[in-house]
Amino acid sequence: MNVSFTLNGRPVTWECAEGETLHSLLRRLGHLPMRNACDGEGTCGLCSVIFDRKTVNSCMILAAQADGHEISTVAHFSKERSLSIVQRALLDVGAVQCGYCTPSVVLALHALLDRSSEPGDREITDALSGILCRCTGYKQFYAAAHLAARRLKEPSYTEAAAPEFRKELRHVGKVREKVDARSLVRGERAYVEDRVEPDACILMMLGSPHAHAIVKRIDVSKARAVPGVVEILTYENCPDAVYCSAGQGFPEPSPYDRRMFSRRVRHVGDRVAAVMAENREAAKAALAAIEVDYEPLPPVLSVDEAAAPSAPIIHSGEVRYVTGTPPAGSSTAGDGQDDPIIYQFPIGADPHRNLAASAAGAVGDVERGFAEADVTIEREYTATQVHTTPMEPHVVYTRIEGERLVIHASTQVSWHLRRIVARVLGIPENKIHVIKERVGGGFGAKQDIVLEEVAAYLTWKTGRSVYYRLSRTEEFVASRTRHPMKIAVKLGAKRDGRLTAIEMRVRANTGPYGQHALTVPMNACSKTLPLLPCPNVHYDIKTYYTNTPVAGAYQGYGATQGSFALMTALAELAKKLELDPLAMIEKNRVRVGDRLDILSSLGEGRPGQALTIEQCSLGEAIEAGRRDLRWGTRVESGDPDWKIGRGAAIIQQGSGLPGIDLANAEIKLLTDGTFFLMSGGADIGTGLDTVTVKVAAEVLCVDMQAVAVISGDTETTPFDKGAYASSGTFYSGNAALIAARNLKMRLIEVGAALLAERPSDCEIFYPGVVRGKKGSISYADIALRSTSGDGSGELQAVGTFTTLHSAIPYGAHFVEAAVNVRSGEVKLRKYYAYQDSGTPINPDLALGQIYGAVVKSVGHSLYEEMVLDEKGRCRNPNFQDYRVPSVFEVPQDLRATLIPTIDPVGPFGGKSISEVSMNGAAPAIAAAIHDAVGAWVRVWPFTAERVLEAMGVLAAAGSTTKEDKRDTE
Amino acid sequence: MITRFVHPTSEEEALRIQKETPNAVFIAGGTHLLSPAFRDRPMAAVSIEGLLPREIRASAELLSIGALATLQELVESGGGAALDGARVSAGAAGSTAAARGSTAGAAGAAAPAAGVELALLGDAAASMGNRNVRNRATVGGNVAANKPSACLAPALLALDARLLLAGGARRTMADYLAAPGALIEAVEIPLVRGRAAAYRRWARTEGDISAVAVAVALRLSGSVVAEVRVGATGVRAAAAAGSAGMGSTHARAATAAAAGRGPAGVGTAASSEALPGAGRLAAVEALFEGSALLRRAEIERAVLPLLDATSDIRASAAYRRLRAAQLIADALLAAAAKAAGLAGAAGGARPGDPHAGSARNPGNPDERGRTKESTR
Repeated sequence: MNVSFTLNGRPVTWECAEGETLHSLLRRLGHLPMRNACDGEGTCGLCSVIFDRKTVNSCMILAAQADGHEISTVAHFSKERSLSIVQRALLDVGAVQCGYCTPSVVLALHALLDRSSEPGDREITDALSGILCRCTGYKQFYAAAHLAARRLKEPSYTEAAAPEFRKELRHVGKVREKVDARSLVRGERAYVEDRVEPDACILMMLGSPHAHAIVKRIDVSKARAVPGVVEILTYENCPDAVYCSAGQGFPEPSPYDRRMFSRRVRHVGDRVAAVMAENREAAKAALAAIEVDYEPLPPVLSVDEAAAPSAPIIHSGEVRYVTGTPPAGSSTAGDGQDDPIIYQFPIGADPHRNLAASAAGAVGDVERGFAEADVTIEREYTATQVHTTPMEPHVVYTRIEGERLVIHASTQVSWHLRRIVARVLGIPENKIHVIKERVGGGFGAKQDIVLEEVAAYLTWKTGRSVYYRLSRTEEFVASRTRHPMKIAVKLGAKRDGRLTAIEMRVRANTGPYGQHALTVPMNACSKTLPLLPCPNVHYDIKTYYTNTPVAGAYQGYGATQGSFALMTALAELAKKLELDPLAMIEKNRVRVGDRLDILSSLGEGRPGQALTIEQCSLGEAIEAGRRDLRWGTRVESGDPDWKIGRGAAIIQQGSGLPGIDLANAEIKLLTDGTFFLMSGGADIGTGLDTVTVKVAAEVLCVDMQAVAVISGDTETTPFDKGAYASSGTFYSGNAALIAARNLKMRLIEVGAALLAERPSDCEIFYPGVVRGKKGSISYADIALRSTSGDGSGELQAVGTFTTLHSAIPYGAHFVEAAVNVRSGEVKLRKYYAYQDSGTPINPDLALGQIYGAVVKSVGHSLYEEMVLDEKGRCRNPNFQDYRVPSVFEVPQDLRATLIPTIDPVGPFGGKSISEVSMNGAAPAIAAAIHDAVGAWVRVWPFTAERVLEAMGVLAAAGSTTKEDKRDTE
Repeated sequence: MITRFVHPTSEEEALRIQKETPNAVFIAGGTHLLSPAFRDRPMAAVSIEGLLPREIRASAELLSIGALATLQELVESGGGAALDGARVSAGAAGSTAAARGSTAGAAGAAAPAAGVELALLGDAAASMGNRNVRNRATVGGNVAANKPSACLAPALLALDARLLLAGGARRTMADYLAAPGALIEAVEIPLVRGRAAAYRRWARTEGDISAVAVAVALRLSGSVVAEVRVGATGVRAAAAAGSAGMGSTHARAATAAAAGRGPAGVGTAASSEALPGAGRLAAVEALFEGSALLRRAEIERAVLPLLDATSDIRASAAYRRLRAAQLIADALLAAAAKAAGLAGAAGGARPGDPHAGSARNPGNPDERGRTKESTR
C-alpha cells in the first residue's frame, strides 16, 4: 500500500507493507538514526520520532498509521550538517557517550522546548521518561536541556561544563568537544547496522530450550529445503576447533572450552544450529523446520550444586595443557563424549569436577592475625546475576572484499577478534580485516567474541555477506553477564579498629564456559585487598561451571563484587566495635608509601607485581565526603515511615594490565601541516579517541582540529590490546603520546635541516611551527618540502607503550539513603562520588563516565537481577521485566568530584576512570541501609522485599545470610 | 503481526469490516497490538483513528472521556499531574513519584467540574512512566487490552465508571473486564457530590509496570464512610473473603473481574504466571462502609486477610499482599482526609488519624517538611 506523510518538512509518498512499522519503513528508506534496543517492546525509546509534535516510538506505529501526519527525525534538526540548539548543548555539556540513544534524546528535548521554553527538572525527567541510556546516567541531559533553554533567549550563553585541570596545558584537562560527537548527535551512519548492504544474508540462531542436554539427533534437511536458505551449521558441519571467547591477551588465562557448535548444549539459549538465509522470513521458517531430539541432562544451576560431589559434570572431554602440568589430583582423561578442553597454562582447574579455575595466596600468617584480634567476624555476601545490557546488542556484519574477509564489528577487541576468528576458520590473519565501528555500548560484554566467528565462517564459506544481530532476549540469555559470586569474608581487628587479618573466599559462577574464569574472581581480591593493607591476608577463589547464562567481563570486572563484600564486612566490623565506619576506613586504608606485597600473588595467571604506593588521594576524597555530607550528623525525614542513613566505601581499580598489555599508535604529517593519527585503541563511547587526539595535539602544539583520528581498525591502525581492564587512557593514550613525541622529534630534525640550523637549537611552537635561532618554518612547509622530489620522505612516527607500572585510580563514594520501614523501599537522596583518575584528560567526559557507572551500579544494587526458573530459563529477558535504571532512578542529588593527582607514567598524569566508579554503590548503600534501619542486607540487589526480610518484617525467600555464630569477641 | 490494514471512513464501516474479516482487531494507538506478545498472531488491523470521540468533557453530572483520548491527554486534563510543580511540591528530583502519590481531590472551593475524578485518572495514567507510550496509548485501548497491570482500571473501577460501547450499549467496568472485546466509544463517570479519591501504586522502579496498584474513592458522612470503592491490580479478593458474606454482590463482581483475564494471548510477554486482572475489592469496601475509619495499622491488619496474590518476578505473593494492604490503607486515609477537607470547608470534622497525611508522597521523605539534622 502507499502511505503519504510529511517527513522533516517535505511531503513523501512511499510504498509499504500493510503491517510494516514506521520504524521499519524509515530505516528501509535510509533514515537510520531510529535505533532499536528492545525489539519493539516500547521500553527503550531509541526509535523515537516526533509525530505531530509529540515524541513516540516509531516501532509501535504502523507506517500506514503515519498517513497524513507530520513526522520529524533527527535529520530535521541538522540541515546541511549544522547543529541544532539541543545538539549543540548536548555536545557542550559532554552528554554524548556511545551515541546510540542520542538522536532520541535530541528529539525528546526539542519536543520539550517546543511545549515549554523554560523547562524544570521535573519536565525534563518526564520528557526523557521513555528513553533508556546505559552510558550517561542521564545527569548531563538535564544540563543540556537547561543550556539549550537558556540559549533560546541568550544565544551566545556559555557555561563551564566541568572544572578544568592543569593550567599549563592547552588541551589536556580542558573541556573540549568529543571528537566523534558531532556525527553521533546528528545520527549519522556510525554503527554496524548502518553498514549492511541490501543483499546481505540474515543469520539466525536456534538456541537450546534445555539448560543441559545432548543433541541425540538433528535433521536440517527440511530446513535446507526452505527457499532462500543458503546454509545451515550444526555441530556436524562446523569447524572442528575449540577456542575461548574471551578477548584477552594471548596466551589467555581462560580455557579453550567451546566449539562453534557442540553435541552438548550447556545453557538455555546455547547454540544448536545457525541458519543463513536471504531474508528474515526464510530464516525463521528454516529455524522452525529444524528437527532436534535432545536427551536432557540434569542442569547445574548454582555454585553450590556445581561443587557437590555428585554434581552432573558439564564438561567431560579430554583436558590438555599447552604448557605446564595439570594441577595435582585433577582429572584429564575425557569420556570420549565431549569436546576437548585446552588450557594455555594451568589455572587451577579441574573441569571434570566443574571447577573452571582456582587460585589461593597469602601474605603474613592469618591464623596468627586472627589469634591477635580482639574481635573477628565472618560474613557471606551474594552478588546475583546482572546483565550488561548495552543498548546496541551484539551485532556483526561480514563480507568478502577481494580475497579477504571484512568484519564490521561492534567490539572492544579488534585484534583479539581477528586472532580468534583466524584460529576458528583456520586462515591466516592477513586474510581478515576487522573494522571497529562505533560501539553502541560495550561495558565488557563486547570484550568477548559472542557471535562474530559464526558470521565470519559463513561468509568465508559461502562468499556472501552476513548480518547477525542478537535479539534482546538472546542478548540476555546468550551474550555475557556479570559473574554471580558468593564471597565469604573473615576479618579480625583490635579494639581500636586496626585490622589484624583478612580472609576472602570467593566462589564464582562462570556459567557453562570459562571465559575470564580466573581473572574476574581474582579481581574481586586484587582490586579490593590492596585498599586495606594488612599484615595477614589470605584469599582463596574457586570458579565453577554451571548451566546458567554465560558470564564474562563487565565493567568493574569482579572488583565490584569483591568491593561489596569486603567494604560491607568492614562496615559490619565497625558496627560491632562501635566505631564510626569512616574512622574504621581511615584507620585501615592504603596510604602513600605502603608496599602492597599481596599484589605479587594476584596476577592474571602469572606472577603479579608488588607495588609501593607513590600517590593516593583517598585522604582528600574521604575528607571531602565527610564535609559535604556533614558526616556525623543524623538526618531525620520528618516522616516516621522513612529513616535516613549514610554509608561510605573506598574503591579502586587498575589502569590496564602491567607486563601483559601493549598498545601502539602511528601518526603522520599530511601535506597541509595537519596530522592523521592511527590509534589501535577501541573507543566504545568513552571518549578514548578524544584522549588520543588531545594528547597528540598537546605534544605537537596544534589545535585538536589539526589531528584526525581513526582507531581500532586492524588494517589501517597498529595493534592494540583493546578496550578492557581500564586500559584505554593509560595504554592507548600513552601510545598516541609516544607516537606524537617521536613525530615531534622528526619535525624538529627535518625542520632544522630545512632551516639550516642545529636540531638542538629548534623547538616547536603553537600553532604548528618549528622555530630555530634564525628562522622558523611551518609544519605545512615542512610537509610539502619533505614530500617533494628532493624531500626526506613523509613524516611518520610510531608509538609503542608497555609498562610494569600500576596506576591505581582511587575513589570514595558516599550515600545518603532513605529507607521505608513499612515497604522496604530504598531511595537515594544523595550520591557523592569522589574520584582520583590522575589528570582528568577529558573532565566533562570523565564526569559522564562516573555518572553512568554510578547509576548502573545503583541499578545493580537496588533492583537489577536475572531470575532463572528451576530449569535454568531466564524469566525476565527483556527491558519490561529486567529493569535498568531509567531517568527516574537517578539519585536525587548526584555529584561527581574529580580529585586530581599526577601519575608518573600515565599520559600527562592520567589514569583510568570508567570502571572504578562501579565499585562503590553496593557497599555504600548496604551501609546506609543499616545506618537507617539497623539491618544488613547481604544479597544484592537490595530489593524492597529483601530489605524488609533483613529487618525481620517479612519472612520469605531466605535471601539474607544470618549473622555468623562464629563471630568472636 | 499485522497482515492487513484498513482505515474506514466511519465507525459503522469499521464495525462492519471488523465483523466480516477473520482475525480483525481495532487499532488506535497500537502500543498494545504492536508489542511482541502479538508478533506471531496474524491480525487484520481496522484503524479507528478519527472515528471515535477523543474529547474529555465534564458536565455537572457526568465526566465523559472519549476512547481515543491518549493517556497523556488524560494526564494533562488531570491538572498536568506529572508536571505541575504546584500540585506535587518538590518531590524526588525529577520524578513522577510525587504525581503518583498525590492525592486526588481538590481541597477547598473552586474545584473544577470532575476535578476529583480527573486528578485520580491523571495519577493513574501517569503511572505509565513513559511519555513516548503515553503519547500514543489510548484510554479505550488501555481498558480493552485488560492487561493484569492496566493502569487505568483500578481508578475506573473505584469511580464506578461505565463504558459506552459501539451501538449505544453501556456496561459497567466490572462486566466489561469479565468479557472484554466490544469496541469502546467512551468512558463515562457519573459525578458524585462529596467524593474524594486517591491512587497508590508500588512498582520496582518508576518506569516499571505496577506490581500492585490501588485506587480508592469514597464519601464521608461526618466521620463515617458513607460509601467506598476500592479498585486494584496485582491482588485479588481472598477466596475466603468472598464467602464471608461481606458485600456479596460486589464480591461476586470482584471475583468475576479477577478471574477474567481477557482474550487469549493478551498478557505480558514474559510473565507466565496468571496474575489477577483489575478488580474491585468488595470485601475491603464492605469492611469500611458504614463505619468510621480505623487507624492506619489497624486498616492494614484488617485488610490483609482479605487479599490474595500471586508471586512473579516483580514480587512474592506475601510482599504483594503486604504492600496492597498498606497502599489500601494509605489511599483510604488520604481520600478520607480530602473528603474531610471538603466537608471541613462546610464545617465537618477531620478524622484524626496521625498518619492520614503521611501517605502523600511515598517517594520522598522530604515531602512532609524539612529534614532535621542533629549531631549524633
